[in-house]
Amino acid sequence: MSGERIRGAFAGLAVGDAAGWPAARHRAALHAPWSRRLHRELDAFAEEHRVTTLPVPFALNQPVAPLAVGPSDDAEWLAWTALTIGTPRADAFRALAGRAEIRARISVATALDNLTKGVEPPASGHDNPHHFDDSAAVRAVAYGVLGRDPTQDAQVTNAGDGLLGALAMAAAVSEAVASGSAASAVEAALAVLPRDTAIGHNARVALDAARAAGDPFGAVPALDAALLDHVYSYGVGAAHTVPVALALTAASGGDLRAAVPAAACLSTLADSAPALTGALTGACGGLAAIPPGWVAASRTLAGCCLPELAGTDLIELTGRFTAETTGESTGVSTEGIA
Amino acid sequence: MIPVNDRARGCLLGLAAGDALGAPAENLTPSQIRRRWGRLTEIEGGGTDDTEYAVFAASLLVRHGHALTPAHVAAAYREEIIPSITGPMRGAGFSELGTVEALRRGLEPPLTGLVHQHGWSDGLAMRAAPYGIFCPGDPAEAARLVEQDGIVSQSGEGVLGGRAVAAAVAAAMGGAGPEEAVRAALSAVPADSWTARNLARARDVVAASGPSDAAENDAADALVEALHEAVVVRHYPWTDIAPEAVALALAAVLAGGGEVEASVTFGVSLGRDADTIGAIAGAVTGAMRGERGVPARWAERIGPVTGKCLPVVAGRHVLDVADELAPGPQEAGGPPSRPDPAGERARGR
Repeated sequence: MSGERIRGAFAGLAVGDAAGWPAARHRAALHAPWSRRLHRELDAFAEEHRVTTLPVPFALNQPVAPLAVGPSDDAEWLAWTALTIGTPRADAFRALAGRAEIRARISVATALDNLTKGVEPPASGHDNPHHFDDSAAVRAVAYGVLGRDPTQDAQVTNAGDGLLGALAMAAAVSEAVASGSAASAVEAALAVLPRDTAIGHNARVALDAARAAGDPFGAVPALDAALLDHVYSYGVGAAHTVPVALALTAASGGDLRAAVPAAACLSTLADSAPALTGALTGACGGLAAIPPGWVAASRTLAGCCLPELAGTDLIELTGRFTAETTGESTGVSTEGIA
Repeated sequence: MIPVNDRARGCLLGLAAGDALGAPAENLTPSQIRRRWGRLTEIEGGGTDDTEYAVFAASLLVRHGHALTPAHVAAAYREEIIPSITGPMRGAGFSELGTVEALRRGLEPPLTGLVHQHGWSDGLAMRAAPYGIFCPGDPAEAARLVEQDGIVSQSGEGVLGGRAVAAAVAAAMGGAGPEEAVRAALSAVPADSWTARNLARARDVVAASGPSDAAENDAADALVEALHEAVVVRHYPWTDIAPEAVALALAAVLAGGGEVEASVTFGVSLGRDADTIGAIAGAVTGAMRGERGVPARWAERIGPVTGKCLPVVAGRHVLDVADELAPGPQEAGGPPSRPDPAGERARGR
């Protein structure tokens, strides 16, 4: 069953990644730059003419496939982590430095600059304006399914709440893969989130808000009111996305079909909260519990951030990854790895 | 020997002048600044949040002195800042806006400084000078005191940036020169911190360039570029990063040899958070050189603050605030010693 839940964690992350509105923006990176420039100009036109018909990513004279429902940045960075997990982490990232074509969060882009300047981890993740973001929390799913500590990986790009977010995601995914219990997974995450940190405080606030609301969709306005930072310009802070993922996992009892749509409704956090929520609930319920249509639409990576991953099948990759790193073939029990 | 009151007046005058000088250069690149002004040396308009928040911080010190606590600061936000925000909170940085949101949610320090994403903003560093004025020659106490304020609105490197600036100003108030002020800043932050690493990098870059370079155009341009390479974050659009702004400001103090005009004009030529860089460089060098160290043509442009960022401080003049923080002999019951600006201008003509 655990192999099934490992595949559920990876597929769930990709499904959540695909469900959030920013996925279409990331996937539009596969189109010609002028199409994105036109998008920006249409945005300015809408503003100037006060028309509420807002432009969306479009494919003029270009293939439409990249703009279909599908995975984007988070699924690719998780796949990259699985593929490079045997490499010392600073070396794995250093191999990306100087590659002008890749796209990554601010924390990762800054860490690559730091590594180039000789600033090694943990300073590479600490001397970083987005040390608090959830790039490491996304990658931590790869560590969580193996029951491994994500610290070495997380410290390359993150610190503080960003590091704690990775620890919490790894702990929750690890427990979900082992037991399938949403409640136990959330408890495992809380155990590594001190109350006197923003992420630890917010996790408990989010869980209370979701519990009071009773169900994931019902919790959306309460989570927005109690938790979200509407002052800052970027919505990928681990202190927001990880608590939302934990709260919706708990409120749904680990049901991806209820939790991920609710996460996608928090538009500020829609870039990564649905992905993290999908990883947790996917791990709880296993691959079979994810709607097949969503799995089919989300399993093939687009290469919008890491071009070499275009066309990679994430589920197949998960099987190879699990077999290589645990010495067990896919689909059989890997109980005990956590 | 410059009297403490004179240094205090120079410090806040320098802060206000640097803020006003740098305001139009904020978020511009050094080459954009060069194209537009050559060297930006003349104040065009008023100051910004740097000056108004410094005036507010000074009012906390006047009321609570060395007994200031985060609870006092949080109470002041609730009683004096939040009630006057009737619509948008104009002229505030992310850290202050985030703090106000946190206070409105009922949180208390230190969570108020932790729950928003901009804990490392230079919002504390920009208003740290009064703490240094209040503790002349005692950088450690200045750093301890500014942290009481900083815990409410910042975390991590944002607090450290405030500690570094307060310590540098305290050292300058005690007669320190540029190198000693930078040593005081470094003594107030852990060696294993972004702030310490950036201060050391910036100091090394200035040391490698030679002291006169800031005044010579080509050499100054090369120094600007080298400082950007050493401490500026490339892949982030917001410029209010305390470890960056503090390092650039203290580099400007070193490059300008502690002279107010040379340091401040070089500081704002760096762009990024130019008003805050100018304000910090102006505060440190103003404390070193005293009121007369600030160019008279700049001092003339500094009037009472308008309250456009913090309505509660509207009408206060930085020189009166300086006299409250560090009274001169004549303040022992006598009237404040601020010259009448109109009279000054008339005499100048």
